[in-house]
Amino acid sequence: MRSSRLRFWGLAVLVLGVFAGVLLVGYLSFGVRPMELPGVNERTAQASSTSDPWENRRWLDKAARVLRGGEGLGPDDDVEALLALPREAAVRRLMEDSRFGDTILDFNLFFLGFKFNSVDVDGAYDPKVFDFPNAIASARAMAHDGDYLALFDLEGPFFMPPLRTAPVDDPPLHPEDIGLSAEQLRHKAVGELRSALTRLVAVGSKTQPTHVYDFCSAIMGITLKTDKWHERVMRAFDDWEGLVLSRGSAVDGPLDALSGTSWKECYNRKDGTLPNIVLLREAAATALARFERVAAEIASFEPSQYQPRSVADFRPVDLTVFGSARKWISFGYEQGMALPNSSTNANRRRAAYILKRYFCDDLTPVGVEAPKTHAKGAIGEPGCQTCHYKLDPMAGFFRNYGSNFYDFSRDPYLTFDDLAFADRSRYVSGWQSSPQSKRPWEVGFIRSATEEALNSYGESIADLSAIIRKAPEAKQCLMRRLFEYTVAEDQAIDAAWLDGLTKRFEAEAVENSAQAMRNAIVRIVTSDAFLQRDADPRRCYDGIDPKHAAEAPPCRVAFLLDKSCARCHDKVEAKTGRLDLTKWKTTPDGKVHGFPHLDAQSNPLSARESLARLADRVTSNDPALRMPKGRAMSDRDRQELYRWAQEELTRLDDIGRQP
Amino acid sequence: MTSLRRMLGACALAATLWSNAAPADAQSAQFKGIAALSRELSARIAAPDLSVELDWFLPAPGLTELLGAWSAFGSEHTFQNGTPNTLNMVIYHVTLTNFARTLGAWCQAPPLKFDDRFAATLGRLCTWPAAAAKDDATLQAFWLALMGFAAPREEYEAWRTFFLTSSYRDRPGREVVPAMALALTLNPYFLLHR
Ligand code: HEC
Ligand code: HEC
Repeated sequence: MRSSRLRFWGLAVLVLGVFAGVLLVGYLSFGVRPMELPGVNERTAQASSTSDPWENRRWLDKAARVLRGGEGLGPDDDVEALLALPREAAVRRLMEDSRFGDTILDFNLFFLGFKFNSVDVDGAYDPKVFDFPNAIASARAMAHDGDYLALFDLEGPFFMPPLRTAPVDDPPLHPEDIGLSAEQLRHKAVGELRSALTRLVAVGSKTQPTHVYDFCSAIMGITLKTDKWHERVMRAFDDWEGLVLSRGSAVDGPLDALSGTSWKECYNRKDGTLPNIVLLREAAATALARFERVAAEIASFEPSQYQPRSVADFRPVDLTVFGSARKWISFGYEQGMALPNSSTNANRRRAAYILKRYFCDDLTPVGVEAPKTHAKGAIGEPGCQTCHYKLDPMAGFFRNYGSNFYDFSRDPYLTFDDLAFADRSRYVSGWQSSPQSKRPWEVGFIRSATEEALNSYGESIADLSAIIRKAPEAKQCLMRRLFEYTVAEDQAIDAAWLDGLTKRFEAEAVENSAQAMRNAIVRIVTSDAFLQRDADPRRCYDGIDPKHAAEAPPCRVAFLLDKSCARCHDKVEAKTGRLDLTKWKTTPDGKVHGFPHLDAQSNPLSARESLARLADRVTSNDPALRMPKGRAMSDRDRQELYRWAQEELTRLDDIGRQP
Repeated sequence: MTSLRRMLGACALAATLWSNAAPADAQSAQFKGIAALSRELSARIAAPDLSVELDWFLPAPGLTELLGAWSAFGSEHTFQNGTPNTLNMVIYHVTLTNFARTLGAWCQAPPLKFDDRFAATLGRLCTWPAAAAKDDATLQAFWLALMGFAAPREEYEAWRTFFLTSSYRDRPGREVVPAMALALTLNPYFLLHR
């Protein structure tokens, strides 16, 4: 070992650069073989529990890196003091660090599928991070033992980044804006509308009631140009800020209300009386006041006033300035781009996103029991229903959301991201239930195509948030992602261990989800998988019962097989297809491993044939063939089993190809 | 640039040779990426409130994406180019060579401000082949400052032995320091996740 390492060093340093690089690639694929550490099972072990001080520091350094946003042990750390603590206490100490807030934010973004290289750029938070308000709300909650599971809320508070400091367009779109800083331009753009409305109020107070139509036309002078005013104001804001102002109807909200009143008073009078000038004056004053409130709220996010230094400093926007206390949908500008909706897509991309991110269901096609579906047309085919039986009802939660997740529920039309638009009531009728149904909408989180009682139905985004919060699948997904984030994305995990981790999280989260999250982190950072150096991705380091290990199936699926198949397939016998799914042995040819599995003539099947049959039986649409026979199995378990079988098959092919 | 292109050509050829021979279950460890490495290094060697960014040492701007990075914008983010290949290894090699040379240049005129303790270690190492530079405490401090504890002790020992016994033994500090830093930062334990 040593001499080969020495040779490596010599080569790496001396050989021409390019060859060192190539050699290193070779070293990466051949040199680093799994190297076992003495297993550390004693969870209360001191941080310095193994004999080699480097090993103990290695664990601590790695833990620090994971828990402090990538920053390992540094010159300012009292390493000896940390090492003197039991491991669990050391982890808890590291979680007290202010950088832990960034770690949680970073993990939350990973969970949502939008992790960045770093949550900050050049010492300030990346403004793009603010696109994910539920990730922020949840990270903030960790700091004060609040509601970590705010991560599961698809609507809630909204946090805005400091307004931008660099000019939006350089040079500016309008020549008269040349030379203005970003802040000055905002001041100017907002000020223009403010002055126009202020002048209007003044006109109103000077106008004699007999000349009320003069006031009417002054009002129309503004409200008929709402689109122009919108654009005038927006020129000072970038796409992200613009989305906030549009969604909050910062400009059209006040102007549309004013327009409504003036339309009714000035031009829609049937009785021949004069418009009520008092009402019109009030409407103008209200529009000005509303816009003033929005402007003041936005101005409070000027970088000169607002510079958050930690997640705890992030400030929610006062949503009441936008004229309604509606919650903010937690899909921002980037998710608007990444998850667009068209009239034919009908929110299916958004649905697939929710299933993947919140339920760890990536729609691997694993068949479906003949669904009692009302689906019509091609999509009703079993092959399509394999995904669409759950995809389409999930999409229904978003039925009123059009382009950029804008809520059209109060409008007759709905605009899509491809700029098409549709009659809203006709469009949403696609999710209407049949007249016999108890439910108004075929909208929900569907676990089973045949047993409605297993499903969670709802109507709104609020319902969907509540469903996610309640679903054990979402908590298990959270724990799985936490393990992937902390250990490695491709590290095998024993399903029973994951189950245990989830159950404890669920139980603890009832009391305090922030505490439950911290405990889960402690469990993972002190797990054997985390401790490994050069871990073998196919091995499970935690949870496998050692006395069960010799001929047991691979850890990734052992628990699934045990739970769903072993009751019938615990030995080779004719009535259950001569397949034993409780053992994993060297095949008779001695080359690979496989399940004991015989054909009708009692000859052993090849490992390949055996796995192929398993994959077929698990994904078949035919109830007579679909395994587990006559019993339910969740899609996630089914996907995991299927994916594992596929990977094993690929591996067998690769082994077969080797000389 | 010509030389870079020539190197890439050589690498592509070599890559074909290597990948044909690779066993099916070769471990697929991933790069940490430039952002994560910079953060790690900063925590260990940067002066308080400053950072050390490996981007500074890239052969050309905009290459970070090729070195293992979370994809940027407009669709769900995934970690891209994390698997070592000959192209990204060449870029790493050039980048880390630039970084290592900067440490070597520090021996003559400090171009960067570091954490005081790291600066002191580096200062001692610059006196190579003097005994103070070859002292185990100095070598270990230098190794740990760059590597952290990610690598097993044998890696350190092999590295130290190499520099104490090879022809570097008697060369001046400004040559030895870059070689040491390069060897260390090209180590998979430094570059990879596991
Ligand atoms: C493996 C799962 C899966 C299967 C099987 C499947 N779909 Fe889909 N389908 C999806 C997903 C996911 C989307 C959303 C894709 C996106 O927009 O990203 C989708 C989108 C669609 C759309 C909307 C396309 C658009 O954007 O305009 C239609 C229509 C559709 N599927 C029909 C079918 C039909 C018909 C079948 C059977 C022949 C089928 N699907 C089988 C997963 C599936
Ligand atoms: C309730 C009992 C039961 C359960 C649970 C069950 N099976 Fe089966 N399985 C059977 C029976 C009975 C047969 C033989 C009849 C047939 O071929 O359908 C069979 C046959 C099979 C076969 C075909 C064997 C061959 O060579 O033809 C495979 C593969 C299989 N099962 C896999 C599984 C898997 C994987 C699971 C767990 C996900 C599972 N079974 C769960 C009862 C069960």
